[in-house]
Amino acid sequence: MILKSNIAENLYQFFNYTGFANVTFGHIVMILIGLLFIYLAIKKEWEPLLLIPIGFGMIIGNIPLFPGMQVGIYEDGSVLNILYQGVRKGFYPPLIFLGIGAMTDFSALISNPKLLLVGAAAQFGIFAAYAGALALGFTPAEAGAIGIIGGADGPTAIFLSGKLAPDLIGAISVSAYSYMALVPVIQPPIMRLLTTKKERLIRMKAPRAVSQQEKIVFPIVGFLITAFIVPSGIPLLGMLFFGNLLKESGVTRRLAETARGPLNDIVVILIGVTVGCSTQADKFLQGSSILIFALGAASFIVATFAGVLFCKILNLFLKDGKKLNPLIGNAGVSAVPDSARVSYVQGLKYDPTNFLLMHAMGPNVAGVIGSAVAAGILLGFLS
Amino acid sequence: MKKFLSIFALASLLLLSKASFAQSPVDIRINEVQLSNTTGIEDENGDRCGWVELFNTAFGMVDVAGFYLTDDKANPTKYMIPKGNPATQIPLRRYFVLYADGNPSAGVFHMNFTLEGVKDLYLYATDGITLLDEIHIPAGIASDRSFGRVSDGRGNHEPLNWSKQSYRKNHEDAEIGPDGGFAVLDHPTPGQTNTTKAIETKSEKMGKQDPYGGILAMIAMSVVFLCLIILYLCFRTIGKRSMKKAEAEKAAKTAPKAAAVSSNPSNVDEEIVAAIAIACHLYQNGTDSGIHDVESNVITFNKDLLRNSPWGARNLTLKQDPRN
Repeated sequence: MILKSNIAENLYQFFNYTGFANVTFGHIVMILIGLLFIYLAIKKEWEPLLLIPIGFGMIIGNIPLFPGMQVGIYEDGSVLNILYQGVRKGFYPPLIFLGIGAMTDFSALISNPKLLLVGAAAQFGIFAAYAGALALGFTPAEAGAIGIIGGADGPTAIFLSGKLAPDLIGAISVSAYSYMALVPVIQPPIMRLLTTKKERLIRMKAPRAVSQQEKIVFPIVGFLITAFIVPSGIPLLGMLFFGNLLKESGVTRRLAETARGPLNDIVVILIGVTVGCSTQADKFLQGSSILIFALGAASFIVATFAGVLFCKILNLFLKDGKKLNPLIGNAGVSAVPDSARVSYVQGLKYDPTNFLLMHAMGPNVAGVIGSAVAAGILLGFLS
Repeated sequence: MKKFLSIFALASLLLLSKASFAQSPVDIRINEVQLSNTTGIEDENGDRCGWVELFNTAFGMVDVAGFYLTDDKANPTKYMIPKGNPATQIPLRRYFVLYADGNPSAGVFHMNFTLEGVKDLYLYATDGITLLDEIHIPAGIASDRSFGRVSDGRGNHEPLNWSKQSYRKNHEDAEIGPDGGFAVLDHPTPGQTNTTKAIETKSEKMGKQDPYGGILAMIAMSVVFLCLIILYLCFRTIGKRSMKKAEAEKAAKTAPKAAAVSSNPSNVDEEIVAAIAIACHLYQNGTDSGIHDVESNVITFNKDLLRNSPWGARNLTLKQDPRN
């Protein structure tokens, strides 16, 4: 009899440790969102390299836990917590920037440097979202972290939110990556709305061949200029340009391959899974998350508006033959290379022989530099 | 005379040392109190409640064990600070916090009364008779604010019924003002100095200076543009120089050849001669000779129905004969 009651008691105790005893409605909702991410990644191929780790991370992070088991991402010393420090302390994003630098070809930008200005204009979305977040009652630090979603750069968003608003990191990063995946849906209507058919048919001069010397000088000069003006952006800018120098120097092929290959893949896996895990129901399912998603969408829209309009304004000052096709303006939001691909596809729709991809890559990579600079400025002002 | 001077010096030294290191109950002050605490300090059980902070103004340790705190002058021994715990020995210029949750069983330093509605608080020495300090708490202090001395240990709530004038005359803190140096503190600081100015973060400062975000947006966009305009100017210049250099190099390469060709037309490159000869041969013999095959002029792309890449294709990765 005693044995039976002991067994029953132990079984009951065990049941209390299981997820079934601790599950809440929020956990189920988050697990379903994680499954949706995985579905979108596999079936629709929307940013699969990110949505699969984030989606599965969401499932991991939302398995109901008995508190104190030292396994949850927010429990000090747990394995997930240790891996999460890369997000909290901000050392994953610069490593990703190293990889981005090592895989980015800045030739399009170097051959037509005025495309840098288009990348700068598209950063307006960041500050529009910042003002919007302030109006909705977020603190300036939180507003800065939310605004950076408009930079359309996942690592930058994670880096900045980790520094300025760690509590919002889950919502901000998921929002940033979701909208990056939705670039082909969000941008084309705005591009069509702001351009005339004549403008969409503008043919841009083919980019000139860029010498190896110019490619080597670019990351060095680029870093010196941007870092001296915005030192707070050094972690991102330094790694971006360093990665590019590894690629372009021609003598560090192995290092460049490691940076853009295995190292980048490892960090993408870790950042994706831990960001996904950080979206625990009690932290993520809040009214503020909905506002963040709304502000993120607004910032993408404003950034696209600003990029396309800036091209049109710039064309007023450019001679015929040197004019820009405004369809490349959307590429100023970084989202490499998706937004450039959107420009290319839209360009082909109106003229099947007008290939805008290389031209759009200019503002696209300029957007990466611009968003890193903007992140540095926000960090300098608000942290 | 020398003897007298020595005795005088020794006495002075003793007096000075006594004055400097005086450590007595009178050096303890009620430094800060919080009546309602919903977001501040938590006790050892993770609960929030009102609290009382004592401050040792002396430059030596003072043990407050056995001191009494009360909100009722008629009952001076209402709560006794427990004895036998080393934590009651307050080091020089340090603080000691007691939780006013009315539940002494919750922990060692939990008082047996709460501060809700309390107007006066008195600190008595171990004899339960000597009044060491008192404060008078104004009504209507908002939740999560505290009341205490603006400067640690300084000022008095006139426990000796001094007139304000004599208080000012006699007290070292002439600048303290008519409120006796007490104020409602926006940022409670249990266990820490009250004089600490709440550090205003950059974010808070920015929120005050630029509540709508317009200034930051303008500055930041200007800086982003400045960075990228400088980069643009740099690379426009570098690009122009590079193009000029490339043109000059090209011209230098083609110039000798052109000169050679113009001076001796028969000196044509052998590869060019061979290409011209083959072209002429093909043209003269036509397609009937079978030298050149006839192309359909149709290019077809066949879709590969195999979904596997060569990496996944077993027939490409396995050996035909496993024994080899």
